[in-house]
Amino acid sequence: MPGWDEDIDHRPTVASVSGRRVVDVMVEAGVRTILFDDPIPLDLAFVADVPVDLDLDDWPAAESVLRRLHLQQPIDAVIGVYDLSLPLAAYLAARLGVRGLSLAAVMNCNDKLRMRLTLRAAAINVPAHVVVSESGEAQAAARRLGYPVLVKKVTGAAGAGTLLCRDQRQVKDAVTALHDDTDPRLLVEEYVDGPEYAIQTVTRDSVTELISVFSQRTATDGRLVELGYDFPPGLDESQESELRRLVITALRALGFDHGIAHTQVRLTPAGPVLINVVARPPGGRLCEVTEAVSGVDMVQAALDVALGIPLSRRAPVAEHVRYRCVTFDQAGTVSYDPGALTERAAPAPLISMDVNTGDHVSPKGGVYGRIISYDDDPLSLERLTGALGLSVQPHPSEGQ
Amino acid sequence: MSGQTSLAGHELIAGPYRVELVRSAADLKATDWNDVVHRAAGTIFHTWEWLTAFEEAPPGEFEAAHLLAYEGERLVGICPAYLVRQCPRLDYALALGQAEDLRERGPLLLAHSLAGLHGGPLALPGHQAAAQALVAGLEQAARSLGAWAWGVANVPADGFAGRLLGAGYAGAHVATAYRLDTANAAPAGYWAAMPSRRRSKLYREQRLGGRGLTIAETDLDTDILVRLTHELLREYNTPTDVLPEPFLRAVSRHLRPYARATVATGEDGEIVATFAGWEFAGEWSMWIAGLRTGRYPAFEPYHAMLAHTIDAALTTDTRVLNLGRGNAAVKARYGAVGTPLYLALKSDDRRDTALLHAWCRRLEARSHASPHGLGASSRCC
Repeated sequence: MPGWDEDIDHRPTVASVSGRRVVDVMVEAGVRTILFDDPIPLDLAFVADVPVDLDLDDWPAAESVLRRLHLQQPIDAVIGVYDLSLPLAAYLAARLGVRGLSLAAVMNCNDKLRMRLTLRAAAINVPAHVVVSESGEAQAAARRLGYPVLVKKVTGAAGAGTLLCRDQRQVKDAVTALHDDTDPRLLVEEYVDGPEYAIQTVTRDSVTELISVFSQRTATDGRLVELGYDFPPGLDESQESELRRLVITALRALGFDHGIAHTQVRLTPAGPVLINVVARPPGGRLCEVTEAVSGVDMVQAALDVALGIPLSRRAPVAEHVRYRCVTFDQAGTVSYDPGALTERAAPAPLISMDVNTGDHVSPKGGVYGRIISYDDDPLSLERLTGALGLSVQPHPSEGQ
Repeated sequence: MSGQTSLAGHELIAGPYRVELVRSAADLKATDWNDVVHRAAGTIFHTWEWLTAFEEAPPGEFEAAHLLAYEGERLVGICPAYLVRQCPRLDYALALGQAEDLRERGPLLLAHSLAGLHGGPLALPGHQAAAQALVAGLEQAARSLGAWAWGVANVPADGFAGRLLGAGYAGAHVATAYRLDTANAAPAGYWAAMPSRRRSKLYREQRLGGRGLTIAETDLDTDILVRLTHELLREYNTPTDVLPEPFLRAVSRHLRPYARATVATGEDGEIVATFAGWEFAGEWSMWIAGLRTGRYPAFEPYHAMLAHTIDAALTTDTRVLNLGRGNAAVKARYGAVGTPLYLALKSDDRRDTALLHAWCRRLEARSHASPHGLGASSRCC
């Protein structure tokens, strides 16, 4: 072939800021992979074409390294699929002038105050909120908003920085529990009640496509932990259309141009209220169930968007999802039948536990496992749960 | 008006609003300008007098680049702005954000200064699109004037700030102004509404801290303003060049019609503590504090002065008492609510805007990690 140099690697090159699954997807897609992490896991060091260990908080150093690599062989895109790696990925993409999610969108999603300001400016309902930095302010804000309220970190929560409070004492305790010297700001926010939905999207050249919508169950007993998801979400046509319009408007307002997102919305009598947007795939096993019902792998989608190629789609394999999170309302020692665990691909049912029999569990520990049925029969979920035989032996000292 | 450069016709300025650039406050018609400030819920920091003082004795190297939005011949929006060549506060923000090298890129066009408690464009009710036209004008003006980036300083966290962030501006929450709604309460009701334990504690602190002092709202002598302000700055190792004497004198002189100051006077007749501020359009902005720090190392007079100021606001037509930045815990105990103030910046070039994002990210992190909220709070008044 004229002009074809056998010594040059002609694969597209993508730099990823951390990420195990994304590296697997990139390698499988035949992409030349540059991986930045701190440190690079040993196994990934052998998989990535160019593994680079560096301090991910030192943006100038990361830019300098990537610029050198870019000069050696042009980089096509930079991606990140974790909350903490997204800002650096977007920064590097912008500095090199290659494809990647808009840095403004990432910054707007990484800071809840900024997100709410931006969305409200676009006439999107968000929970009423007050930014505070100490408990007196927080208690005054809670009184103004009315109980219950949520107290949440403005930045750096990584999905675990929110507490539900029903009185002044709980607000004070929440401020103490969530205090972070690096960013003492907290949001005190009205608790918005109503059915919740998790929406997965792909945005390409500022055009957003809804990939999946799940109804979401969240505990309201103070734990504020996700309990599960269902598909179809049970929305009528006009509700789904309203949700679609809201999410598309929200992502545009936040500045999304090329990337994926996971958005949570609650429907209230006063209309939909946007709770949160993250510029990454959803957590837990929502990526798997999204792929099962839509044929779109969200991590693959992130790579496709980064490369500017058509979205890879497989045929959906499921029309129903019943997804339940394993949580506990009392502390103690967990036991279950390990023989019931199953990890086969959808639409086979999934039973997965993150703890072993004999481990300690507590209500504050969040989600300890997942049980997923792709069957329309509600009893199938009960059968799977029954097969697992979960029980908790309370510790005498811990009680409830 | 003379000295204006029309920016109309540039593609970024859309809609029915014409935006003009004025290179000096002296070329503005003060009454028209202040009328917009008044009706658009602006504050003293937007007034013609503030801008005039700023130009007369700038705390740094600033060139005026004020923007005006017209619907037909009617002034409907204003945006004070400066081409900033050197500013101690901005320099400090660059240093905090480890972005000193950005200084070498040249001037920034900023609307308008980190010194005030409120920045950004103002538009008359019913003309909100004029604010967007003014932002477009700001961008055009930045290009015309050779600024590598432009932005807004101390814009409150409201819809306008949200629009800037959504439009790709880099943003840093650099300070929080504490505001108390004083429109619908009388002193008795205000204190009665406070939780009784807190009220008792505050009364005690006011009594102890105010012992031997006479607290009053009175004219503040400029010499005393300068002396006590600088004394407090020095106590916090803050260079006085953030509030240089000529600037304080110019501000004091030009804003005298709006002055409202609370002072504490000792038994010997010496003024030992000051809250200097101005009221415009119902908002009383307590801008700067001064103190005989050697005599009152723990800010002892401030509780009594704060209580006096609040009572004074509640018994006059003051709609909002803006207690300024810093000391969140104390101000919150008196019921003041924090309004985050943002520095929002952008450049034409995606790569340069990324540098601004990186700067703002580090600046915000360093600011919030400081014991006073904003590490630069003392340098930003």
